[in-house]
Amino acid sequence: MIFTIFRMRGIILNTDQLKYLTAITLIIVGVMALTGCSSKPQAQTEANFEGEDVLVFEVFGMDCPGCHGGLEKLMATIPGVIDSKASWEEKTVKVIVSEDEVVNNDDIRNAIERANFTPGERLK
Amino acid sequence: MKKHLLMVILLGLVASPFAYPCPIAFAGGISVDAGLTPPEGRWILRAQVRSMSRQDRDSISDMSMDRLMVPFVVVHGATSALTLGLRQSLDFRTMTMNGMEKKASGFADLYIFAKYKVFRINTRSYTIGISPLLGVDIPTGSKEVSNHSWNLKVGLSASGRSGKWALDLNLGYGLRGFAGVAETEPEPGNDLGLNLAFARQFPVGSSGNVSLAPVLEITWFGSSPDKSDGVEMLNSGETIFSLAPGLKYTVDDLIIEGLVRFPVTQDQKGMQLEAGAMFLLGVRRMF
Repeated sequence: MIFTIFRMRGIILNTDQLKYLTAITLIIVGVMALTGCSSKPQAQTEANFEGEDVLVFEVFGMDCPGCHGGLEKLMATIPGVIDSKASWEEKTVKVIVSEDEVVNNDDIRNAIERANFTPGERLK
Repeated sequence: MKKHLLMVILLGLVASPFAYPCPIAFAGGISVDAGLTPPEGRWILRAQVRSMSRQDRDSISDMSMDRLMVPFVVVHGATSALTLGLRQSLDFRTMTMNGMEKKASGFADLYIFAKYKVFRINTRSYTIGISPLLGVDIPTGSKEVSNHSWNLKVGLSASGRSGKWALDLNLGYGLRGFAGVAETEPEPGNDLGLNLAFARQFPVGSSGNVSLAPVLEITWFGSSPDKSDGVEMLNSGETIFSLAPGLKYTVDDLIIEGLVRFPVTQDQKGMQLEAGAMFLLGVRRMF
């Protein structure tokens, strides 16, 4: 597609430039594909979060589908947190905590703030 | 013969790396969550392909310049307030005049920047963020495309979000050549850029992880003329007002974006090429 645009724009690239561009494109696509494959599965179901060890907090400030990753990354640094899933549409984060460890609400609120969001009520 | 010689000289002058340096205050294509700094520990990688051209206004000399830029940007949320980033671009330029071509290509100057969150409010119904920016172009680029001097950029970014609507504002002032300009070279003119971007997200599917957002960017850019011994040079300095409709497709931590920027009005001083449309295709990945 990119090359079609170049042709439409009348830009003729020489062989070296084409090689350069092709290499860059392949690197970008490769990195994206590899990192995409290594991401944790998105198919988290509600069932994963049922039970006494699930905390749910309101989170304000998430405004896009890509916002949850930064928050979940910070949640993962809290001792006792097994997993978390944030939703920009529901404006919540669900946190699965280990039954063996005590997870402080303030730690979760602090992680939300470090993600540049604002914690609301604890819903569960 | 004389005519050819004149054209070669003209081509050499207009195609010199100094003729159309990369404007440093030009807010950089497609809204970038301007005033909303990323979470602490977040990494953002961004790559774009930008194709732009300039044409002779009167088509007398059939002169044109095509430019292909491939910027790579790495951004890191060092703390929740401080964001650090760098940009390294590949720059390919082709100047054509009456069938004759002159090419220049290589790595552009390295740009490093820091953004600091000074204000952020998140509520149930809206989010507002303001962040000033300080950046510097380090003249590390290839001889043919480098600006050969240090450029400083100061900027202010602000963002507002309400529901699925987004508004981003970038204001940047570029102090070109604040250091490193050779005594024999003219003093580069500073530039000012204002970019306003509107977007509306439309969720795709029921997963909540995918959205499509039409974007409209409105950009005003102005550069003051270069000076030599305190006197303004004739063929430098311009203002451009442009509109850029685009699309942003977000899948989880991956964003694919594209836009076309059309100059609506522009004014170049002296004999300069007129700016044409710019095509941009980019990809962003957050970690």
